[in-house]
Amino acid sequence: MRARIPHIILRSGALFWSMTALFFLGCATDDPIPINTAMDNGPSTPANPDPAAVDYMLFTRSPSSANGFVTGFDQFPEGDLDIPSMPQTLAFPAISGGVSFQNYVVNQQKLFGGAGYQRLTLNENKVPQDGAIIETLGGGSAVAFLNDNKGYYVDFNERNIQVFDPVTFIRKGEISLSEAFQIPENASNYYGSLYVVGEKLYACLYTGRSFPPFVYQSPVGSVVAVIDTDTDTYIKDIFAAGTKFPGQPFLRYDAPITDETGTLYLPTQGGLGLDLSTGENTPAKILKIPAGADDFDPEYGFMPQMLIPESNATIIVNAGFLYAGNGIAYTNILMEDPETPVDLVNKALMRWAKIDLVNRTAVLVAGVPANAGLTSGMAYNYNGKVQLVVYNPEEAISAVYETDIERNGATEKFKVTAGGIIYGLYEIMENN
Amino acid sequence: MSHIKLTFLLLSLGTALNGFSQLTLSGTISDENGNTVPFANVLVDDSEKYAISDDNGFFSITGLENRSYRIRFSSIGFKTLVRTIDGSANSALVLSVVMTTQTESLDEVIVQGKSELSIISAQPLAVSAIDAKLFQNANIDAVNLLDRANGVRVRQSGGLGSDVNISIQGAQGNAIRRYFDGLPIQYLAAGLDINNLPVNQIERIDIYRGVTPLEVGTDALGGGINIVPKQIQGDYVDVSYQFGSFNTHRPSVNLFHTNTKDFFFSSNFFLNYSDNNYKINAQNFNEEERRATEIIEAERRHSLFRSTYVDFALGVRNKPWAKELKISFVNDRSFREINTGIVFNPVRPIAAVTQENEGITTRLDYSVALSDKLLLKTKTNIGRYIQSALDSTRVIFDWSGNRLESVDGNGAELLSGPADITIDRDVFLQRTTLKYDITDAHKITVSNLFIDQQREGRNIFVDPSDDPLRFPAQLQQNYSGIQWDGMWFNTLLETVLTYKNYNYKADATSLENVIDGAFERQQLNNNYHGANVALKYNIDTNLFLRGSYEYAYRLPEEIELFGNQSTIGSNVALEPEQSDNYNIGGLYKAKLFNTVPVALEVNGFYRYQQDRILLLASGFDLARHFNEEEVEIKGVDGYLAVRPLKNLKANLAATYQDVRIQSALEASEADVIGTRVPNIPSFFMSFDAHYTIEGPLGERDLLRFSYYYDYIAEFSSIREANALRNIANFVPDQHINSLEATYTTTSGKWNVSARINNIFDDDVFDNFRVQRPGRNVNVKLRYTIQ
Repeated sequence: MRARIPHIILRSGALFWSMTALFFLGCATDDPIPINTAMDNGPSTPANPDPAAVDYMLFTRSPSSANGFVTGFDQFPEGDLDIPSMPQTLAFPAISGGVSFQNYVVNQQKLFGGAGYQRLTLNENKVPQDGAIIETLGGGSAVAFLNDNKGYYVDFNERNIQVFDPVTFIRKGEISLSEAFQIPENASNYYGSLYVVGEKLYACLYTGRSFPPFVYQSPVGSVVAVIDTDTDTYIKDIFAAGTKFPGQPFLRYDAPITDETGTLYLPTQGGLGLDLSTGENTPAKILKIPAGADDFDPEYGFMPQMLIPESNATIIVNAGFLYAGNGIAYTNILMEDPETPVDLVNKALMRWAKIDLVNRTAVLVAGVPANAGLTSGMAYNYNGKVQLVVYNPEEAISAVYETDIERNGATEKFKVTAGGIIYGLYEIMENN
Repeated sequence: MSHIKLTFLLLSLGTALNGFSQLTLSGTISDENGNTVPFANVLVDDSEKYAISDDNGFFSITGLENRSYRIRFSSIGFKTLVRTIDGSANSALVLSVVMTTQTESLDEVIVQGKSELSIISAQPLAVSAIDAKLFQNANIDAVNLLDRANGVRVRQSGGLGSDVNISIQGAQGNAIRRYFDGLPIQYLAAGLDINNLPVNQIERIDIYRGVTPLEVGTDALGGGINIVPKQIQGDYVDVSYQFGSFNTHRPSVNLFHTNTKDFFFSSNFFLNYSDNNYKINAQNFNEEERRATEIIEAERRHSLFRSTYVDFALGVRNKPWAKELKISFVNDRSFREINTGIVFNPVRPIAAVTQENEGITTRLDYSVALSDKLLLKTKTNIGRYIQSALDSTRVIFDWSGNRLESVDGNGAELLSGPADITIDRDVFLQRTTLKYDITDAHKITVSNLFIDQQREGRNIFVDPSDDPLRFPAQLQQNYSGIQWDGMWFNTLLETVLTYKNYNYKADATSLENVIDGAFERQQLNNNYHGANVALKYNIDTNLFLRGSYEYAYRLPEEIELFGNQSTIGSNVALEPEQSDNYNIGGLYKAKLFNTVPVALEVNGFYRYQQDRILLLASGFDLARHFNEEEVEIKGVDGYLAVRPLKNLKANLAATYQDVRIQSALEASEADVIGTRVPNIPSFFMSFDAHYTIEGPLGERDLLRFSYYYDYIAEFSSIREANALRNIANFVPDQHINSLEATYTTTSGKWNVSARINNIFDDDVFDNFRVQRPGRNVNVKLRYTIQ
């Protein structure tokens, strides 16, 4: 039987250990540890901007390495895209995707490999330009922007939250989490996801026995530190029992998750812990921290997968989450159980669903193919629409489908015919 | 070169290859008019012995056993002459050889090969050899020697002792196998390799560009190199000491003694030490702001390499029951500090990762002539090797040597978690070869190589009950085959036809899921068949053409099948790599203007590789090896050697290769089809020139000046597809200029040389932009008694 290539997702820098020369391949690529991140619907690109004042950046990546492309657009991309042949495409060794802010995108790692965050801009010809780097000492996958003067990021090297200047892209301090909750018997304890809501920063603890913590291991469920952004001081931790890490696995999965009132919705990973053989199948839930409260709503634990009759899956996992407005959000629903954890990366076992967070309803988005949710669980809401990313290796689809909260169907907006898998689509302010 | 020196040299060439010192064959070669024929090749079939006639046409070959031989005499401008001699009852034979002028050929020319890489074999197989004896006085190591051969590119990730990747005609990595004395080097000792063998320990390096001969090869997909250790007879002492930049010290000793009853004792020793702390371009790091700042010239820290090797051998030769019986004991060990991963980090070096190997090997060599036509050779190795690695801290330094305050405690820099790993390997290896001469023109060779490897390890940072290294693993490989060498139409046509069988059995436990710690025992038993055919057509003594085709396999290795029990998962469904290799080439010698000898060799090659095994990221936890795309390799290489003056020689070697991906198993990667495989240069060349001054200080002393130039064209380190060129992905053009001066005293016993590598301090990179040493100086002292 011919060995088949799986599709890459996290830890593309899987360290190359052997007792021979293979030893040295350890830093071939250096994706940070694939834990979680997300950011709020903070002050990045203005909502509904003038289309003439914005550009777009599309990240695509090889399924077999971290090599990939970044392509600039002055209009929202449409149709079939032959990425390598486009004149505004550049190749980079380490494409991870990330988040956008004003006129740049932050890649989850250094574009030429290594641990750190690096930003890109577009020049006047819409050709990507690699820019400033914040080095991380242990990798990281969370960036959040409070305002134009302050942002936060995570360095897995330590529990403290790092503070940086979004304009200069330089670290300028840190928030001590020495008093924050941790599980001493675990080898890893760091706050790996960041959400800004109003004047509060919520940081989610990722903890596990090993380093890196492949399996989230917390007897107290989800743990979130609450931080005052005025003083950049730790306030307290809040807990949600019976749940797992309340976030998404990659920086590129970042999407708005706060509603119009300031209520923060936190999707927990649930079975994403992937202890399939241990029997610890903690279901994924969407939790919420109501506006004005500093704690979880104990009555709220929404499991949309349970409302999808087409799903045959017994494991409940989460991959991708976007709050789009009027209580409507989008997430990937697992349709059938994976045989191995890697199937969630390599196989189109998920479908995008439209969910009503208030009325707790869920329905599959019609017209959108099945999706390898742990490769392409990204969703966006640009131009008043909702864009859902799909990677379906069986049908050789890497595309963006567009819908809106008023309807249940979606149509293909563009498709990548050459150049790899979509790893991010970003709207940024045009450089003047 | 004076007559005496040349005679000495040629005697060395002719006699040092082997040591069965019962029969000495000597003689004089002349043409029909009685003029001597200098620099004629004298080859002894069925042996590795050869000589080159000196200025007076004299040659001598010692160490032959008492039996019949077929001797082949060839020289440019003359018809090849084959004579059979019967030495069964003589201790010495003196021949008077008359060679016939090839009327349609040019005048005889004198060419010793490109870059002094003498072609010692004119086999149908595409093989050339580097005569390391010619470089015993030079400040050069085996890697440098190999890198100057046409079609060969050696990639090295740092200074002395750093990892080596050899590319031959576009094939690279595991597709190119390395052998030591005809056996796969990876199983012979603890870390012994071409990157740490001093040239003074080497007799020659054979380069097989495509087909490897049966009695050497295993599963070399795209060719291989065979390092032939120094083989001495009589009494011999060779002591050398090389020292130079980066606190580099390399003493080397060869001792050999034979008594009158042909019992012998030998010992070889060498030590390598280098801090490898050469200057590199790095960046300062502002810890407070977490950003890299200005570019600095930093010292490459934590790159120390140290290795020692010592062997002792006892044996006897030339007995009725043993052509040779030798038992050897080897102890070697190596230690290295790891400074960088495969990708250079300009901001923070790796600061506390080390790797160590130690091994004890016992080897038994036995050969016997079972009859006049049947020869039996066996080589048996039993080794126990301990390999260890340490990666257990998160202490980080910047390139200026400042320790960062933000990082401390247990952790790992390269691996996914703290590691203090020890792996014990037991290796048994046995090759048996039978050679049978059917007639003078035809012979059959049958060879079998069996390798058994068992390993078991531990990581002290992991609880024994959770330690995946504790599972024993066993891998057995068997390579067998039969080869028919034929000669037709009075040596006009030579052929080699070979069948090979590859078999491997494995029994190991692999880590199937690092998340839930699931392990699974796997057992494999697979069998494959390969073959090759090679032809050589001697158009005349100035020109021959040769070509070969091989259907070759490269079997998956243990780590590729079963992972490494930590970060590399298993893939027992791996298919072996397969390649169709075509080679065609020719060698032409001439004498320009009747005075300037030149030689020109040109080779074309075509390979189509399938199921290439690559390490790819896979899912959450692991990387795995997979069969990936098909690759097509096309290219041409060649060399030109010229001696415009008696004391001036120049050589030029160049290679162009086009290595492109031809299939992608995933539709989303279809854009890479037709694009170049990254990290492989498409063009590289080397040039060297040597000028010798005779008697600069004394009557017969020698002073030689050498100039070396290497060029590697720029290439991309990632898959570019057809995207806009991103210059940052390219390793730029590299130019490396070096100078050397070598002085040999009148007695020939003392030699001193000094070499400046990279005299212009140009930036030099490994394929992944890992920087290599800039300007550096080395001095070598050598003393020999023979």
